[in-house]
Amino acid sequence: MRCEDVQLELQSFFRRELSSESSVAVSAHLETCPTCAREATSMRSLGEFISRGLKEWVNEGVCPPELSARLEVGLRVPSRRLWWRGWAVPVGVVAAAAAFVLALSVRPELGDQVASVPLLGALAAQLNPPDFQVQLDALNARDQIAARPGSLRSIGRSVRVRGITLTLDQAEFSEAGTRLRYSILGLEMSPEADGRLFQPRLLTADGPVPLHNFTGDRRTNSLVFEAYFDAVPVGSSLTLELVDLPVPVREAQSWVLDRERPPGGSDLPVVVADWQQGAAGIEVSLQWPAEALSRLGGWAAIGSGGAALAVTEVERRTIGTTVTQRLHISAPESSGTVTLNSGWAERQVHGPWQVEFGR
Amino acid sequence: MGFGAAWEGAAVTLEERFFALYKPEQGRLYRTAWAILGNEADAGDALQEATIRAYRAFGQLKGGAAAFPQWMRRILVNTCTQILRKRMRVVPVERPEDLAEEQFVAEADIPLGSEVWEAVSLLDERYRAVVVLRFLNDMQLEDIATALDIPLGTVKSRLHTALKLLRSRLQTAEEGRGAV
Repeated sequence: MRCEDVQLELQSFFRRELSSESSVAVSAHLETCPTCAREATSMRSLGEFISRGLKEWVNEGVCPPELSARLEVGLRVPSRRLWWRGWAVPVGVVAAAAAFVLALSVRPELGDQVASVPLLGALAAQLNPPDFQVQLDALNARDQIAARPGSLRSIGRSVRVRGITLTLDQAEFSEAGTRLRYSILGLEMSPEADGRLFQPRLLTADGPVPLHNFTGDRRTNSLVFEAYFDAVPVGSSLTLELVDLPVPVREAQSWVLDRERPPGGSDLPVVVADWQQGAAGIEVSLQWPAEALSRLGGWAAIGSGGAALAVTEVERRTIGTTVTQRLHISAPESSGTVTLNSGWAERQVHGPWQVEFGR
Repeated sequence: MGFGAAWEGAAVTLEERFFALYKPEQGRLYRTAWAILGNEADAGDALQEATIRAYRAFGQLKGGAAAFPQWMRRILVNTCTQILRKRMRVVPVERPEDLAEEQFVAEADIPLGSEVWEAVSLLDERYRAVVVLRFLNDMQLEDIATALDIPLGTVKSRLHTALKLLRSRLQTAEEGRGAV
């Protein structure tokens, strides 16, 4: 056996976890190799020292009173017992794709943009440039946060998009690296369902910043993520992208329901970004990739009673590669469902997408 | 006979019986979860989950009061490793060469009291988990591999690297006193 191989097996060897064959081989090596024999002695006593130290530390442990109280309350409130098991995506619910973009900049240069963004509303008034700026663009699911250079901690600023609250809890910029901690509230999926869905990307003008370590973790009512990236130069503009988060329909109330799979097999999501119910009907805002535009034949809607409802396109805007389309659906009922069908040029009808309202 | 049956006739509720055994262990359980998961917030969540699981399964405990501490600890360790598995699953690319030096250590996460724990707590999560499961919980390496859903070879190499890091740290810490 080579010295490296022997050293890897030492801990198993000490506790007799090796097969007799391997054990004999390690033993024989240690008898003839003084370097490994010394290493074995050192590692054995180190292991014992660590074991003793950890056990002592654990034995001195005291549970914080507030946790202790929480645990007792947890046992006495039946509904709380189940939260851990309640993470499965509700049956019959099809999640839609959503994308969050959280932009961090070490220069507070977003002031002008903030003013021009619709839906910013009261949030803009709370901004406190040049320390921190949050920009919310719900239509494009784009949130931007501008921050001063230097180390930032305990940020705790939240933005809410499509029923999901995204909070940037901490950001730390140093020569050693970049650490971002953020949490997501309202996402009815567990990170283990598909870890790739949650993989963040940090981008600068020069391209992606290498990701070193990334953890996702369930808390009682949110998902908490911590991502460690390479250091970024002061003055960089950073964008943290969280793409394809599955939007929970229950939270979504108003919108979405399905994703469209157009001809050709490629996966083009159409997202109901927003809707409002008014006296004259329902106004739905849809988002989809511009490349799918040429294929769109039109929309048709059916009410819960089976009656055809008139659909009018109110507005169509293209921003970048995303088309935002606003439709007005004349819905006489005040509650029920509206089933929205899309007609594609290459195939008559896709869908249906069901939009529930009046809940 | 289930443990619950041993208490039949006693004028106490299931909850009281449970807490009578649970309370003395709580501090140790809390620190066990902290050691495995690396921070107190997660330890609290894990302990809460494990406590609920144990409470629900309390009637099935075999072996009476003497068996409780180990039984409870096993439930806790399982809960913690489940959390670790989930965390590790969202780490798409493992690059051990990047992990040799820990660059991000929040001061609040560094505990006082034990130099060993202090050194262990500074390890990257993947190293810390195998060290704690091995040396605190005395788990076999194969069981650690299963619990964390990683290959046995990975457990061995992480443990080896972790021990080398710990040796140099503890030696630095103990310089002049010659402890390790």
